Amino acid sequence: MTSGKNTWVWQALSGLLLVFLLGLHLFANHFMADGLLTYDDVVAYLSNPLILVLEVLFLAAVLYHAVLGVRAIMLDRGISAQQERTLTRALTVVGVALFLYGVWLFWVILT
Amino acid sequence: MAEVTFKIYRYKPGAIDPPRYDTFKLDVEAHETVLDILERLRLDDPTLTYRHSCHHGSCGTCGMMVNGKEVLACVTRVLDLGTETVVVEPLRHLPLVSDLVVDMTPFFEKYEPIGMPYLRESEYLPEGQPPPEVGTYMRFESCLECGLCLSACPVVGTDPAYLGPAALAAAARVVQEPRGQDVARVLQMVDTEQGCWRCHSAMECSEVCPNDVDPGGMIMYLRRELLTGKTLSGGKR
Amino acid sequence: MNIEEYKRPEPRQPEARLSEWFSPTKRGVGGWAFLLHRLTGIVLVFYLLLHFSVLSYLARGPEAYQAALQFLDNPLFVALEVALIAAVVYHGLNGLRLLLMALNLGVKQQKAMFWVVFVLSALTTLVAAVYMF
Repeated sequence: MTSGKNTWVWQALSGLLLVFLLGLHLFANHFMADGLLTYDDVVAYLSNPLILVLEVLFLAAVLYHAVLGVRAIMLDRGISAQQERTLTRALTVVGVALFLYGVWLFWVILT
Repeated sequence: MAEVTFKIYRYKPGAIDPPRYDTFKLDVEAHETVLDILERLRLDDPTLTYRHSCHHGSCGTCGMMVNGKEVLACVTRVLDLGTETVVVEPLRHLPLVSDLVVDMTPFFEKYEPIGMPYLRESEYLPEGQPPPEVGTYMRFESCLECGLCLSACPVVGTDPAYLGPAALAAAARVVQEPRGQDVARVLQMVDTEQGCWRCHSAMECSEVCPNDVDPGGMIMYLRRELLTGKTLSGGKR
Repeated sequence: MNIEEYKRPEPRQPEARLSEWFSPTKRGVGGWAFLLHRLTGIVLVFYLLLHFSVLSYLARGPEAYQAALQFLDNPLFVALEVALIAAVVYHGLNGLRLLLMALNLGVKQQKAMFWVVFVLSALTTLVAAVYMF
């Protein structure tokens, strides 16, 4: 079983990071120039290496926070230790899969 | 003096099952509490079951839900509630024995492993005096073990393994003022996924606590102590 | 009946219904904060999945992406986006409030903090709504 404190700390840290990264993400998408309105805008946006790094970081943080959040909700329902192991594994798989999918999307757009 | 309608939750396994609400209309005086009303109703219906003891808010026995909120019935004046209808129900999240009586066993099952911190050296002995560097501390003895906090906590409602506000407040008390208790052991018990990290800070427990134990605040205190690397080996701050 | 025949009835176990989180019983300010935080979290998880499926159009080339954006360029979706901003801003700000509380900072002022969070969320949502419409 994961340490309760560590899980909580990671949830809090990813949340804190997200406040900044999400702010950046929304700002860039909607308020920089006219926002990312066309496909070419998206390509130009992601071609900046710093932006790309931040967006990948954002992707990782959001998925991590969401997975931990869903796990917390399920834990609150009162599940057995075995169910918890299965749940955590399943959620990890989903999270990693979505992350890889996101990275693949970045790659497709940029090439 | 006013006329008030009371809807009292009734349940008796095998007899009043499924539960129902019995309705009574009574003239109520300004000083009468919910417990006074229950005593009056019982004269007509001796099967009405509830717990009571001190009648002045210091034993924690008469905890129940009145108009959807956890209170001690003996200090809740009916007319102060300000409603024409008063709904009286048992505490939530605890097994229901009969009518307004709940089984407090789960409460104590979470509470006792902390180590019954209220049993300790007399505060009149020199060894029992808190060290001078302890500036302020909460009297844990404030806890009446009434169970209102467990009834109000949304996590206790769905997760039976969660230690709960009362036990965690007791643990915080041990950490603040060990008086011979093993702080490391207690901290280990609360530093778990079902301990102080399960809390979602709804603070409903502190909201309903009749004696200012502030379990929510105590849980946050425990978190801070654990986050700032509170040593597991000493009781010093 | 003999006393030996008497079998004490079992207490009725409380039901661990999920509706406990959303129960209408009187709750304090902190209880509302928890409920909204949970609701916005769930909404955001669903949105996240939806967002992934919209972004998948990016992989199908400029025309497909353009078509998807045009589909989304209607008042219903803009309204939903405003609701989304409300959810995100509340969840984030309340999250900061929870973080402060866990560091034992401002626990006594937790109710006031909630109102600050709520007002800021409402204002931001209003500004976003005006801007986007």
